[in-house]
Amino acid sequence: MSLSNFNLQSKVLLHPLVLFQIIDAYERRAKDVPEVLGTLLGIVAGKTGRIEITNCFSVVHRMHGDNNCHIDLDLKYDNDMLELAQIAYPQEKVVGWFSTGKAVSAAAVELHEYYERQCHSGQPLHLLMDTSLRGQRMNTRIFCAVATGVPGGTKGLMFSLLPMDIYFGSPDIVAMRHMGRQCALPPKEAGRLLPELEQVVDATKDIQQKLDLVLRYINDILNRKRRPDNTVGRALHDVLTSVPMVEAERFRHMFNTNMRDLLMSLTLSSMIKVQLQLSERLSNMVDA
Amino acid sequence: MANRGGRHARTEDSDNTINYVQCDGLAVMKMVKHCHEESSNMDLAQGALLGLVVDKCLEITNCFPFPKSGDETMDEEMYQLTVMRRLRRVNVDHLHVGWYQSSDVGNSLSLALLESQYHYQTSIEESVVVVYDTQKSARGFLCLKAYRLTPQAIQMYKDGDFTPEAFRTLKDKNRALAKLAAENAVRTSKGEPTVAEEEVIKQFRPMPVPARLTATITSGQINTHSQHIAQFCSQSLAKLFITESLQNAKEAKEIK
Repeated sequence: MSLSNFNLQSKVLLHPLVLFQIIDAYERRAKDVPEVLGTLLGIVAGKTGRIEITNCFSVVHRMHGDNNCHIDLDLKYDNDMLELAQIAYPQEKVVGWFSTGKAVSAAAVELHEYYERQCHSGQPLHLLMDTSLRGQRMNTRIFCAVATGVPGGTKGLMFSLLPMDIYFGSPDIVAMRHMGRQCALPPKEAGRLLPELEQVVDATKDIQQKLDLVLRYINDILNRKRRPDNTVGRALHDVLTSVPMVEAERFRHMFNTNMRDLLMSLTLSSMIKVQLQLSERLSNMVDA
Repeated sequence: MANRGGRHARTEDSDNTINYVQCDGLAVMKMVKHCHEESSNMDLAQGALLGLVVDKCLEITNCFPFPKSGDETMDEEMYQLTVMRRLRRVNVDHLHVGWYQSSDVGNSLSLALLESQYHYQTSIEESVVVVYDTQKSARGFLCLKAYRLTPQAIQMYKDGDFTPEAFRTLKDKNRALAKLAAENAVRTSKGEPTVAEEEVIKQFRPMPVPARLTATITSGQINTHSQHIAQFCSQSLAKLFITESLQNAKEAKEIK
């Protein structure tokens, strides 16, 4: 076992889909199994060493022995699922394994050995999700195993924590924001997707609320009601400078061209619709 | 999206039509991932939906992608069955409740879609097709729609006599008519009475009106496409006006 050739600096990006999948697997676990575990799939960016965890599937298993320190993993199932996953997403490779629980389990060493062989880099990641919701939070952590011990003496594995970010692509954000809003609705109304123009109205209201919040915060600080916070200040500064400065003349020009383009598309599409209706009427007339 | 109950019930009444589709967050996220990944190489993404039917509500709880259609070596049926069998072992709902497909600004309607949905709905009655619009969703409007064929549409598709047989009859009839015309020409030259065309036409059973299916689908396609574009334009206009008011506010401040 190589000693810590793992780059502890490498960044781990976790796609939200993986979280959804683990939660679903946990909710559907067999009655006699207290936890779920499975294989993590992802992409390792060659040079930067950035690891993206993009997919996963759960694997049938059984714990046994004292303190549940031994594990029987259905290896055939794992391999079959991997094969099927490769058909849909051939670019994804095994990057590690996940399990649910409060802490790294006693069986982690055995699992690590198995996934060490499966994993391309030879350094499987371990994602641990606390589904017991301690402190109203779903604690999700990523570990990597590092070999420790004295050469020639006792050796062991230490699971050390890796920094992790959750990745949000823009379509993911759109979908998740929608779901978040659905959850806030009373259950009877939930489920209906909003008509599309209302989505814009909603977003506008959102912006207004956020602007109000920021304004209140800034005014509080200016009136010395609140202690200024440097990080918040910097973040606000970043936000404000990210708005491009456009001269009034150029903005007018851009606004008008865009407007004309959009109105043109609108007119054309309604013209097409009229034409369709016309042809439909005509063919009906021929029939009658 | 909504909380999942522990219930697992099938509709018992015979007219088990559904009037409501509920989609789990997991299925939404999986569709989003698959459709966007495929659309980046300009491909159509398709996959199967898994779920269950509770009362009049179809719950979509999971889904999985179909392999790319270009791969001829794959046995698609086998693949689907294997995936479902594997997922069943980890207690995923294994009722196949339909399929999903990606689209770009509403260009989803096609003969293939109609055919697949017809086969789905005739084998599993509750099936739906979920169409996810990648272009619109990438611009901030989640566009996820579930469709079903109405009973009338299914009946029409069933009756739509667009078979090779109908074609053949048409061909034979034309040949006989041409032969008759030639014979008649000979007869007139000899001064004999001509045989009326109606005699020949009677020998063949009347042809149904030529199928309008393709034309209807095309016009429906154009209609939805333009409707989506119109919607999209109005949304963009709304966005544009928001930018304008922001800009105005900024300019007003600068003047001060």
